[in-house]
Amino acid sequence: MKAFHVALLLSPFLSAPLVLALGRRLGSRTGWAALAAPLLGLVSCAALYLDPQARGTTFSLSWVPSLGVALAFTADGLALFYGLLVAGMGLLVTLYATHYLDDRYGRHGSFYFTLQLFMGAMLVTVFTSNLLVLFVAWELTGITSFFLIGFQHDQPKAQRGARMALVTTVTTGLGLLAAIALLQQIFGTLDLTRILATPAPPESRGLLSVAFGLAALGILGKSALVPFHYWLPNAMAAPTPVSAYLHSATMVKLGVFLSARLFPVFGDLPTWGPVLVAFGFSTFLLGALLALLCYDLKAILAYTTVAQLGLLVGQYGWAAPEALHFGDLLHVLNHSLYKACLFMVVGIVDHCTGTRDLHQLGGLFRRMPLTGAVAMVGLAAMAGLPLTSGFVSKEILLETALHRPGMLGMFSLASLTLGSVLHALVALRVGRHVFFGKMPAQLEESFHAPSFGLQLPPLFLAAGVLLFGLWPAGFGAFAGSFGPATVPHLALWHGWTPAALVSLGIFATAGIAFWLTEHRGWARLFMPRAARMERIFDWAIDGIPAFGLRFNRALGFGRSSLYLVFVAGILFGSLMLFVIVRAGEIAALLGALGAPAPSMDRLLRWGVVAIVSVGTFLAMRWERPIPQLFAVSLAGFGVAYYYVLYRAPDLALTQLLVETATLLLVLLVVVRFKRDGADLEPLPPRSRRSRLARVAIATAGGLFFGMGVLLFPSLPLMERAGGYYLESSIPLARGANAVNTIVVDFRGFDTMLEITALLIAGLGCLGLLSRKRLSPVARFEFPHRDLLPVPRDFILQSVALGAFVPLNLFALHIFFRGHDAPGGGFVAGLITALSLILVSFVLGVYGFRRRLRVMPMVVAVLGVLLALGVASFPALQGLPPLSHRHFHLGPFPVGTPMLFDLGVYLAVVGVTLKLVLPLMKSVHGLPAFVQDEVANFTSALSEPIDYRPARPPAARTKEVA
Amino acid sequence: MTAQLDTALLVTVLAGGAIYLCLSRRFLRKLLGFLMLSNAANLVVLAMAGDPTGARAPTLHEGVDPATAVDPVPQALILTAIVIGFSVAAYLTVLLYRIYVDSGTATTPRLERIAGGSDGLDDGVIR
Repeated sequence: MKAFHVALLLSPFLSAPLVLALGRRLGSRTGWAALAAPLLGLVSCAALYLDPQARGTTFSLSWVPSLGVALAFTADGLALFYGLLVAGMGLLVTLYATHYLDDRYGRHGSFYFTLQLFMGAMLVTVFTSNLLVLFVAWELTGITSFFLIGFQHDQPKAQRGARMALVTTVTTGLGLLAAIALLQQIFGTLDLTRILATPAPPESRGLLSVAFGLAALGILGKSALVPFHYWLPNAMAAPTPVSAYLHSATMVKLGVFLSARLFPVFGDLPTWGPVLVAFGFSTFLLGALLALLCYDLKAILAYTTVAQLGLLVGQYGWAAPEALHFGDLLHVLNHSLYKACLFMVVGIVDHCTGTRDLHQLGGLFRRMPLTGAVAMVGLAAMAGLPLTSGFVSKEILLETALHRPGMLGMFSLASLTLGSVLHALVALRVGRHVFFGKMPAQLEESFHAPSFGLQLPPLFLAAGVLLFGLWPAGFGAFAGSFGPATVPHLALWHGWTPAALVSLGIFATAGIAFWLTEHRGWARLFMPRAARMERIFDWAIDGIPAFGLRFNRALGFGRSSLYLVFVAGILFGSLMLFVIVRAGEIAALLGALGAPAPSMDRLLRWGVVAIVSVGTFLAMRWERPIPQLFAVSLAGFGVAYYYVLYRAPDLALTQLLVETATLLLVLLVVVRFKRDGADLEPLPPRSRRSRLARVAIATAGGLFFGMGVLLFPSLPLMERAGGYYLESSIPLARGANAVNTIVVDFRGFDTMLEITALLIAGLGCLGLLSRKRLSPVARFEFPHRDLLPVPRDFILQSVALGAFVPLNLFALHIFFRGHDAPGGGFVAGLITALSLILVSFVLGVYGFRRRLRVMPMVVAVLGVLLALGVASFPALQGLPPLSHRHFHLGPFPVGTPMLFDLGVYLAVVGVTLKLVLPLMKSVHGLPAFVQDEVANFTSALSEPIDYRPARPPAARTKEVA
Repeated sequence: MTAQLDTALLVTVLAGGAIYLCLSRRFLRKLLGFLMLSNAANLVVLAMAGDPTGARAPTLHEGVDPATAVDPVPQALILTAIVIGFSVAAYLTVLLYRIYVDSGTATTPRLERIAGGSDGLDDGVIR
């Protein structure tokens, strides 16, 4: 495999965003643009198929070398077969979807986007030779299928189906992950080609059996085998092209694929045969039986698919290693051809009549002969009639089962025969009741003929079914060309072999059974409740929150104050434990009190302690919020000065500014509380016990922290952590301020997450502050003038506007000197934000926003993106992310840490403004977003969060319910 | 270690006062308590750098011995903590404000009554 093969195979990932972007412009024609990716994938597979030299070679890109994970792709026969299947089906299904998803459907861009991602994930799954990559791609198919099933996400059925499919396949997929981890332990590598080439060491047979059990879980889940078969019929809420692609031809075949992949690894385990045969063939029987009991065409197809998947997985249970990759691939190809064809036919029927109910359909052959003919071919293959590929496939299966001795052979032959009878019966029933008989009058009205384009893809598939059926030798040769197996000669007629006799028996039984049911009525057939396995799934899913609730009730966590008892109890308990364990040290400590020599520094620190204590006590004593707020600020500013005494100028600067910004935010809320009188809301008096408990908890908590301060530095574990940073700050990071170089360079990753957290908090606040307009009727009429009180104080105005420029020059200074002296992007950002807020005070929010054309949130997002970009930029040069680069921009030395700091600066300015300004509006009863400031975001229009619509909300919810 | 007795006292007072305020039934006092608590927590981390008496700030110049500077790592940690503390404080402020607007009360006893029911838990079913 060469790089260009891989590039072509991965083209769906590249074209997906393109398709998404085109979606808005092209609408229902987006599908034409989406044809390119499967075409390229098909070209790649065809090129590999025609080039025998490329077979088995590997193309590898290192990904996580320390874990042995590489993006390795190997084109062996199995991968190539599934690759051709995925790409070829992808092409046909995309073509089908362009006609199927007409203008009645919306969001074409995102549909094809997800479809392409799915296709790419499938191709990676089948071609990769690294087990972990296989797992990642395997789960990616599950995740994309979630979005495809739930495409019409306003329908409860689609929500339910998507959720069920995701939960089932992803949970069972974890079994596969565990199996992969075990295989890595056993073979010491994740490389599939090496695992397949080396026999397992005999001492690890037990571990291998466990790995097989876990992998089987993944296979059963993904291929919807018993007991996980319930998700596939529910996934039929997907648009039909998705069903045809994911749920018949590709994704559900992954379990079959994995069985084939891991056959050489697990094949000689004694459990392999019984497990696969038991689960596979019981699924085959159950699926066929359930298909007979359904009325919805798609459900019928879903259950027959479940049945066939059981068969395909089950036959690996008795496959002989030397016959591998001939018969199995032939069955997969046969099933994919006719089942996708039938799904497309059902889609056409649904499209033209608006129903998929067997009772409401009939006589369609006359009205759409082409589709009818295609359907007949598909159904004939499903029934296994001669001259179709289905017949060839079934003959081989019967032949193998007849020659298989022992219990397994008996069981599989019996279920094979019985299941085939049921399949033939289902095919007869569908054909008879959809295409023949009398057309219901209701249908006559709603019917419209399908376009030719819609019928073309199933026509292709039906042609394939017929071609392989009429030319079995070619069919066998094609399927055999992928594997090492010797290909037996296949012919239309092998004479009166036992298999042919069994086949004849199957047709005869099915015919009689059909005749009987036609006369005795289908009405007696219905799905018994016990067969609805999804009930168990629902019970489990609903059970989780119900269990949580019961658990909570049992613990008595209904009252929030009980949490406190727990927290305080643990806190106090650990304090006591600590005191007891370290009693000696504490006693020594207390004995040595008062020892240090007095110095100016210490004296100043004690002074600050006194100031902060006064602030704290006042905050506890005072009742009125504004004085209390100032008492807290006194403590906060005291802490800032304490940082100065602790030789932490950066902290002091930051603390000062953050304290100011917080003060401002809280002040805004206090203003609102005061206006409503909520600050002095009467409270019932506390009991004596509660007062005592409060004091006790507070004292214990305080002592806990204080004790920590005394003891932590004396612990033997504690040593100077920053020696390295201090020594290498100048030589490595070219900055004198070690704190700043740690923040923007050495530990830049933390900072990146930190500003992301800041942004998220900002977005969260916006969510709390805004409420979408409920309805046009309840629209909030907001006057287009400044509603906030704008102070007309000349001195304030002059100071605020006059200070703006010097303040920002100072911010610039702080920003640039940050690397060498206290300061940096965060401090500078706060200064700028506060200066802007000061201006907004005198201009009024609206006046301010009219002058400031930039949206703060955009600035914040740009900042985070800039930091992210700077962080990942070195990766382009093959360096680890966040490596710093220094270069000259004209005469100025520029380093990536400075650009990174710029990102921090922008994020801080944006978020702080976006926190304060909407809150300022909101506390005055205005919407957080209004028209003139977000002209581009009309959907973001909101109303004030305390705005009450004309109708009471209680009545509204009742109406909806 | 006793050289940091002042820090220990400061943290005890701040944390104790903060917890006392957090235990209040009024939203505003809870909020103020939270602000003080994050200050106290930062000071605990700061104290891990050891007694700063006689040491230099971690800003280096030519000819300065790095060993004479205080440990910069706790400072860098606190710098991040202050920012995160600010975000959380802002979120808490707005959250309490929103609760007030929706429920019309700024105290917990009345809020628990409004949240209704015997134990304030909803029936827990995902809708």
